Formats: sequence, structure tokens, C-alpha cells
Amino acid sequence: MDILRKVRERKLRTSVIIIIGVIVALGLADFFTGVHQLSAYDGDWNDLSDFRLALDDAGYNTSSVISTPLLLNYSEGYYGYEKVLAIIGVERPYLAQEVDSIVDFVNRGGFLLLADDFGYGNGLATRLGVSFFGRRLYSPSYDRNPAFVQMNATVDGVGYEVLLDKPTALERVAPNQVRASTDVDTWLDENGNGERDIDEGSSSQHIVALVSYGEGSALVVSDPGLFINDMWGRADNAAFVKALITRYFPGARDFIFDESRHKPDTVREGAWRTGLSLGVLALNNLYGKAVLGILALLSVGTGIMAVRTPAEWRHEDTLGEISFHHLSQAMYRPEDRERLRTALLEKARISMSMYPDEFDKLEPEALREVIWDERLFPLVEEPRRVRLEEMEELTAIVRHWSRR
Amino acid sequence: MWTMKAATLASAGILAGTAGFLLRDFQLLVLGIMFISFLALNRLFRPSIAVDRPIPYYKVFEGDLVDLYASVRNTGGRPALLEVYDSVPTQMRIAAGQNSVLAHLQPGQEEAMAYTVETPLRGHYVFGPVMVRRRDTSFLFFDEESLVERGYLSVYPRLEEIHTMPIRSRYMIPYFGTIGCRQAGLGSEFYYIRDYIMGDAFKRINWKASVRHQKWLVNEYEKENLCDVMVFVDARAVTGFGSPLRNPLEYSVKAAVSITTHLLRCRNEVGLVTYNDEVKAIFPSIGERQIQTMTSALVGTYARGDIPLMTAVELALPHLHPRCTVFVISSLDGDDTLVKAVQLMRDRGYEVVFLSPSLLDIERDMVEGHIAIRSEMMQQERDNLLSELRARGAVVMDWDCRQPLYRVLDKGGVAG
Repeated sequence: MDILRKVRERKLRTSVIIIIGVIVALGLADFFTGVHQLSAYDGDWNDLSDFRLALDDAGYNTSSVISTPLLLNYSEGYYGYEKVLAIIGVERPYLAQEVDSIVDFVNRGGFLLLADDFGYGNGLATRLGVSFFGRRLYSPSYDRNPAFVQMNATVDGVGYEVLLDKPTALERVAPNQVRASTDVDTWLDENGNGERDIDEGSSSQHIVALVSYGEGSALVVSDPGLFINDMWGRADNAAFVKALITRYFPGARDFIFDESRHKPDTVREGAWRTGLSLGVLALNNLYGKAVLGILALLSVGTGIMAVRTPAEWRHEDTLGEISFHHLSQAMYRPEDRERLRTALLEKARISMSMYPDEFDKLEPEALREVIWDERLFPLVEEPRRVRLEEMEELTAIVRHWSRR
Repeated sequence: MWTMKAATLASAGILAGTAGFLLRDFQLLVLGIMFISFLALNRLFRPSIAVDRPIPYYKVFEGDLVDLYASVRNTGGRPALLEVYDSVPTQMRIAAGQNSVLAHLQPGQEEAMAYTVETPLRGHYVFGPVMVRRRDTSFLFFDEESLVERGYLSVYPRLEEIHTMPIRSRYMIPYFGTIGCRQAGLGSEFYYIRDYIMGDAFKRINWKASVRHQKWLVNEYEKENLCDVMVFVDARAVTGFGSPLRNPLEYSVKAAVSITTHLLRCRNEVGLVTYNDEVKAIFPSIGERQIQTMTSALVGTYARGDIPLMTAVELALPHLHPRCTVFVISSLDGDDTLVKAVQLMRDRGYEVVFLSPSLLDIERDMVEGHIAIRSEMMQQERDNLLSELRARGAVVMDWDCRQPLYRVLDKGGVAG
């Protein structure tokens, strides 16, 4: 029982170690790949803390989703009229399930702020009918550096000078969806060579679009850099963003930042995030739920089985234990032929008062003389031919043998 | 430690809590927290107790009964549900009472358990520790703890009756003792009759023989002297076969204790060598202290290892007195060096006496009613070995252990 218990405990330990190992490995991979940026809770130049604080100051309740946007399915109430999901920078692609969940959130009346440039935002944007061009937008109007593209935009009749940070442009945007565009002299570096080629013509490019979807709407921005701390205080960026939010997210009270697409701060956070994502993913899928349920039941069962039942304390003496040395084997074995032969010859030698060397030198005929009993000759001369059935009888003869 | 009940509750709590957290279901989450809190609360309250278990003796004889008791007292402020168990060596039997108790003690309350153990097997034993299993009131957790230091008890073998010893003194210097030395002299054992010579005491005249032979004849007595004996006890692993109570080593130890005690009480000088996985020697000496030393060493001899007699003899040779008697107690099983060892000792001028409790006989007794066909072949091998040892000049006593020791010794004879 002890051995079984130990095996069970070892299996349980191994399973737990493997699961934790996989989650930590995923967290490690998450931690060591990509650049840490666009977090609403960090204060680096490329994070979003200023934006979040501005929202706090404006009276919004800010929170975040760190595992997966699938959790939106569990948000209180079915309709999300008061909620804004802010996805700024999509550094990892969304799973189809997650895209469905976000689109469903918008469809149910939620607001979506989707800002991306060269990331994986298209997976979500295309579901809303627009897409990110994915190549750099250049403009002759820039602030000290061609990366900082200047743009003029109007919200509710108020004009804003907006400074973009390495933006791209939106595609497939209907004219009525456009909320901000660049001047006509901007151009897109379509082949990504960083230079303007002859076929790269100037035109006005769409930067901000409002897409209505179901009961809700999505504000799509082709530059997440607009929201980062370094750009927040430049030009009229802050005022422009606030105006966009006030104008296009009427009645919104809660801002939920999707942090799940950003690099974690620590390995532990990465592991936790991965574990949580896997759990939520599994719970959002019928097969996943089934597997999770079976795993949970198995682990509970294994855990319960691994628990040691208190041993019954009872004195048991070992005085009745018996072990055999000579009689552990009851029947004759093949090697006993030689053993019996040796016993016979030894008995004969001692009875003849001879030394072993002296006895060994006896000729076969002389040995026959000594042994004298013909029934024992086969045992002495060809012990291998003696059948095991004959051994008992031969032993009795040897026991009664005496010198003639 | 957790019980299965606690593990089930914890699993349910964790599952409910995790599912509640992931599904944002407040009721499930609360249920999980309740389960876990219940466990945590039960885990917090551990009863406090004190246990006392004195060992009244430290030395008894085989077969004696030892009365023991242990008391457990709840020294905490809460009721305690306890299971107390006193670990008794497995070589002992519980003759009366129980060595465990299940008690529900109120604060300050005390419970005692008393029991009697029978000690049928010699050895140095460790009693305890007293194991206490504490449970919480919901039977969710239990703690096992040993609360009392161990107690020690030595069980000594009972001395066997011995009338005579099959050894002869070979001392040249006359020290008056009880061991015959095959010389006429002062003694109590009749030796032979001889003609009267002038100066013989009249009380030594054998009147009947004198009348029969029509001349004066006197009785001559065997001179009795002291003797040096070195006892070798075979304690190799093979001597442990059989049962704990009936095996060659047990018989050997009993014989060795009896023989050494007998010889030492007769003022002889006796030493002891045991060989199992090591060779231990007690140098020859005399007196009551030597009896204690040797008995204690024999009590603590256990079957293990495979050092042959030859090795033991070679190691002990420098400590053997000249012309002493070497008394080997061995079952003679599985030792290929016996003949050489005897030869070596005889060459050095020692008298060699073997007392051999037969393992084969013991095993045959144990399989009584069952067929042990091969045993006859083994008996022949043993007989051959005994004959060979005798042929080399040793006195060999084949001891069928169903016979009392004194009978074997009485029939012993003298080495050639």
C-alpha cells in the first residue's frame, strides 16, 4: 500500500510540476519577447499612464483586463453601454474567440477604442469593416522629426492641432465614418523602403474613424502613439483625445484597458496572465470546459487519494515469522545430483580415513571397490544421467551406506 | 496531516472558489471561501497535551512480564480528542491490557493506559516513543507526534542447567578448580585404582577391591584444575534462520551465557568472541564483572554478516592463552573455513570443542507434517562435516535443540 501511495504522490507531484512549468515557461516566453510598452499602469515615455490619469480625472472608472478579453463575456449585465474597451497597440494577435468576444461586446452596446499601427490590430479591425494600412505615413508637415506627423482635426467644430508618432493610415473607411484625416500632401510608404517612390502619390489619409456596429460603436485610430506619455502633452493631443471620447462615447463611465496584448512587467505576472488566459479560454469553449472539468475532477480525485489515511495503531509481534535456509526448496533440483555425489564421496573418504588429495587420485576401479554398492555407481560416474525421481531413493541409499 | 474528509472539503472549496473567480459568480466564490475558512479555523485549534510513560525496569529475563503504564493529560484550554499509542518492540507480546487508548479529554483531565508485555526473546530493546495523534473536533486534521523519550529495556536469557563440561584442563601449574585434567591428584572424581604405597592415607583404601584382589588397593582421583576457555559464538546471518524464538543463534546465545557463567563461577578464566559482520572479542578474565560483560555482549548479538570462523580465529589468536580450550558454538552452516580453522587451532595446541545447534533439525521441526525430501541429503552433508571435524581432532557435539543443553554436554566426550 505504501508503494502505491508513493507512486500516486509522485504522479501527482509530477503533474503539478509539469503544469506549473508549462505556465511559467509561457510566462517567461511572454516576458522575454517584445518591448515593454503601452501599459496603462506604467509611467515610461511609451506607456499610457498619463492617458489613464486623465481619464481618472475626468471621472471615468478605469480598470484593466490582463488575461484575455474573453472576460468581457462575464461583465455585469448583458449590455455594455457604459463601458469602453481601450485596445491601444495590439502586440499579439487575438484568437478568433477573443475577436468574437470583443465584437460581441460592441454589438451589445459597448464602446471600443482601437488604436494600432503596425501590429495585429487588423484581426479585429477587419471584423468591424475597416483595416490598418500597416505602412508608415509621411507628411511634409512634421515637428522637427519626420516621425512626428502634424495633422489638423476638428471635433464638434473645435479645431485641434494633432501630433502623430509614426502613424499609419486606415483603409476601407466609408466617408461617413471618417472623423479625422491628414492633409492632401501626405503619402504612404507602400513598399516600406523609407523613401518616397514615384508611384507613392500624395493624398489625404484617414487617421480616425468611427464605426457603428450593432448597438455600439468603435473608434479606430491608426496611431497608438497618440496616447503615449511622451506625446500626450504635445500639441493638442490630450484635448483632441478627450474631445473624441466625450463626443463619440456618450454616457460611458468605465474604461477597460486591454493589457493582455502587452508584455508583462515580471515573469510572475506573465505566468499568472498565461494561466488565467488558459483558464478563461477553456471556460469559453465547450470542449475546453469538458477537459477542464475532467482535469479538475481527476486532480481532486488524485488529491483525495493521495491523502494518507491515518494508520491503525496496533501492536503486531514478529515472533511467528519463519524463514528457511535449508528447506526453502522442498524438491530436488538438477544441481543436487552433484551435491549428493559429493556427499557420498566425502562420506566414503572419511570412512576410509583418507586425505582429499589421496582420495581424488583413486582409479575408477578402485573407487568402485570403495563404493561397492552398484546402485550408486551411476551417481558417482555419470551423475547427469541420474533422474531427479531417483534422487530420493539414492539419498536413502547414501544415508545407509557404510564402508564394506 | 489532512484527512480524506479535509482534502475533499479543500478540493471542493478550491474548485468552487476558482470557478467563482473565473466565472465572476459571487455565490460560488463565497461558497469556496466558506469551505476554506472552515478548514482554516479547524486547523488553528490544536489541543495541547502532556504524556508520561516511565519504564519501571531496565533489565529482565526472558519470559518475564513487564507492567507498563502511560498517562496522558490535557494541558490546554480546549477539549482534546486523542489517540495515544506506546510503541512496543515487535519481539514482545502484549500479554494483558492495550498499548493504545482513544481519549476525549476535557481541559485538565487525565487518562491512563496500563498494559503488560511478555518478553520472550533476549535483546536490548527500545520502548517508545509514545505516539500521540491529535484530531480537531471536526475530524478534519490530525497530527502525529512522539512526545516521550525512548525507554530502554534489556532482556537477558535464562541460564540453562549445566552439570559437566566436556573440556579438560591443560594447565601445568596446579590451581585447584573443577575441571578435570586427566592426571591423578586431588579431586572429587574417581580416576583409577592402584596399589597401596607407603604414605597413602587410609581413607583412600578401596576396601572392597582390596578384599577381592587380596592386596591393598587405593582409589586415585582425577586432579581438578582451573582452565582457560575462549568461547566463539557464530552470529552470522545464516544463524538467524528459523523463527525469532527458535533459531541457531538464540540457542547459541543461551548456551554461551550458561557455559561462560558456569565456567566463570568455577573461577576459570573465560573470554568471548562473536563473529557476524564484525569480530568482537572480550579478552579472557575472571569474576562476576566478566559474567556481566559477556552476558551483556551476548544479549546484544544479532544475526548478520558473513565473516567465517577462520577470520575470527585469526583475529583472536593473539589473545588466546597457550593450551587453552576453544569452545565454538556454531550451527556450522555455510562456512567453508571450518576445517582449516580447526586445523590451525589444533596446530597451535588448542583444544577445540564444537557445540552445534542444528539448523536443519530446527527447520525440520518447523515443517513438521510436510515433506522435506531434500533434508536427508543435507543431513548427510552435515554428518560428513561433523565427521571431518572430529577427524581433525575436535570434540563435536551435535545439538538437537529439542534436547536440553546439559544432556548434550554430558554426552560430550573428550577430544582425541
